[in-house]
Amino acid sequence: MKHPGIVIAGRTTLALFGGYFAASSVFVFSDRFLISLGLPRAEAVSFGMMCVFITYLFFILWVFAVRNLWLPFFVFFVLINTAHRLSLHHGHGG
Amino acid sequence: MEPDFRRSMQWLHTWTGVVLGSILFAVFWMGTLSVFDREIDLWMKPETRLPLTSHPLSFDSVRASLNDAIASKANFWNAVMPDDRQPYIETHYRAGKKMVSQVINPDTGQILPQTGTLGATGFFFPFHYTLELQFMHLGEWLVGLASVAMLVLCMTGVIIHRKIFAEFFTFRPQKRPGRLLLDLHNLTGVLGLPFHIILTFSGLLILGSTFFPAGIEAVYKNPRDYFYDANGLSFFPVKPGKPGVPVVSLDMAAAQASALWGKADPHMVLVVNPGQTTGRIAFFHSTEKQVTSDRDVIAFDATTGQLVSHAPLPGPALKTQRFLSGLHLIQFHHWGLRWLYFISGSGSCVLIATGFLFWMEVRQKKQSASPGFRLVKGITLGSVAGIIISTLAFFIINRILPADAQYYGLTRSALEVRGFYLVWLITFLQGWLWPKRAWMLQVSAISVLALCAVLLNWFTTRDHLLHTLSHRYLWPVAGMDSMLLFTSFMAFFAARRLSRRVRNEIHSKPLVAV
Repeated sequence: MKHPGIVIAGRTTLALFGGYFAASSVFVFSDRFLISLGLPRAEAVSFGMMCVFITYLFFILWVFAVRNLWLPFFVFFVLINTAHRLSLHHGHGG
Repeated sequence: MEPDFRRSMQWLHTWTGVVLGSILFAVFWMGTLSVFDREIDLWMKPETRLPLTSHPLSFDSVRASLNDAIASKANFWNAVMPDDRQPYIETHYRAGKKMVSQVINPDTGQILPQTGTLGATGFFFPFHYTLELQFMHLGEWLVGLASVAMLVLCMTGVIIHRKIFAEFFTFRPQKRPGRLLLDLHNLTGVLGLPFHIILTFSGLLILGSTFFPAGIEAVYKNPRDYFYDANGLSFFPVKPGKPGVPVVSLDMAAAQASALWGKADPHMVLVVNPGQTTGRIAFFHSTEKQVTSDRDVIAFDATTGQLVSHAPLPGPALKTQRFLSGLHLIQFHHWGLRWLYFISGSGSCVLIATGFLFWMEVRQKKQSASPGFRLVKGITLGSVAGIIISTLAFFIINRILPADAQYYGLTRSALEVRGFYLVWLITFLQGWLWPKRAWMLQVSAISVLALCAVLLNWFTTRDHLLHTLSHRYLWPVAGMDSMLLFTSFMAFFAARRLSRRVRNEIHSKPLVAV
C-alpha cells in the first residue's frame, strides 16, 4: 500500500464510489425520516435530492483531505450497510 | 498524500482539472451556445425567419396536424405556440417509432419546409448534457461526474487561493504567459464563482433522478412516478383506449385553462392518446415571465372536456427545486439577463481553458518530452480550440449542403453531425501528430471559419448584417452574425500574437503548446 499510484487509485475509488453509495444511503435515510414526520413523498424526495449532491461533494473532499482513510471507510461502510438492511426490511416503495 | 490540507486540495484541484477538464469544456461550451439555442436555430433554419405574428393564437388552427396524429395512431401529440423567441408553431407526434415534427406559420397556417438540421435545440442542447453518447446513458453519467468535479474544483480552488481578495482584480496582460494565464484563471474563477456553482449545482439537480435513483426508489416504484408526481402529470400514465372518438375543441379547453390560471396563457398543449377513449388534453402555461420552471399543468378529458387534474400547489422543497431548474433552463424572457448568462458561460469556458494552459505552461520546460504530457497537450488543443472549430464547421456545413442532400444513406441532418465529429477528430489528431504551431493554426482557422459562416449566411439567404439589423424580427440572426464576426476578430488578434511568439521563441520563454 505504499506505492503512490495504488494509494491514489484507492483514495479515488473510495471517494467516487464509496462516497456515491454513502451519499445515496443518506438520501434514503432522509426520505424515510421526512416521510415519517408527515411530509409528502415528492417534498421529501426533492429535499433529499438537493442535499445528496452536497453530501457527495463533502464526502469526496473529506476522503482527499484526511491522511488516514480508515475513518471515511468505516463511516461509508456503516451508512451503506444500514441503508441496505433498511431496504431489505422495508422493500422498495410503491 | 500531500502533507497538509492546502496542498492536498491543490493536488486534487490540479488532477481533477486535468482529467475532467475536456468534458467540462465541452459541457460549458455547448451550454453557453444553448443560451441562444432558438436564435441559432433561426440562423440555421432560414425558412423559419418569420416576422412575429400579430394574430390571436388558436390551438384549433393546427388541428390538421392533430388529425394526422390520430390517423397514424400516435400515442401523443403536442403543439408549442409561438413567442418572441420562436416565431412559429411547432407540432410533434410519434408515429410508430418515428417522431414527426411540423413547423407551421401562425399567420397563414402553412406548413414550412424543413432545412433538415438538428440546429442548436436538437444538437447543441442535448450534447450539453448527454455528450450525444446514448449507450447506457454513458454521456449523462460522464456529464454528472464532470459536474461533481466542477463543484470539487470550485471548492478546492477557493481553498488554495491564498490572496483571494487581493487578487480579485489583478490582471497583468503584459507579464510572462504563465502569470497571465493564472491571472485570467483567477479572475474568471473568482468573478464567476457564484455562476459556476449555481449553474453546476442546478444542472446536477435537473438530472438528479438519473444520478441518485436509490433515494427515489426507496419511496416510489420508479423514478418516472416521482417525475409525474413532482410535475403535476398524474393524468399522464393512461392506458390506450378504443380509437375513433373525437377530440373536443382545443381552444375551448384552453380558455377554461386560462380561466383557472387567472393571468397566464397556455403555451403548449399536449394530447395523450389522441382520438382514443382514454384521451387527455393538458395545457402548460408559458414561463416567459417567471424564473421558476413551474408550468402548472391542467388536464382535461379529451372527449368530454371535463377537468381531470390540476397540478397541486408545490411545497417549499419542490418550489426551491423548480426555481433552481428555472435558473438553469432560462426559459424566462429577458434579453439583458440572457446576455449575462452568455457572458458568464463564456467566462467559465475561459476559466477551464486557462486552467489547462497553466498546467501545461508550468510543465512545459521539464516534461515536454514525456508521452503523458504530449497526450494532455493534444487533448487540450482538441477540446478547447477543436470544439470551437467543429462548431463553426457545423454552421458552415449547414449553409453549404443543398436542401435535399443525402449521401451514403445519411440524411442532411446526420451529415451535419458527422461533419462536426470528423472536424473535431482532425483537430485532436493535429495536436498529437503535428503539435508544432498547432495552436496558432487552429486559432487562425477559427478566425477564418467564423468569417466564412457570416459570408455564407449572406450568400445563401441574402440576409446580410445591415438587412438583419434593420428588421426587428431578424435581430436573432444579426446577433448570431455579430457574434461570429466578434469571434473572428478576437481569434485573428490571438493568432497574430501567437505567431509573434513563435517567431520570438528563441529569445523569450516558450509559450504553451505553440
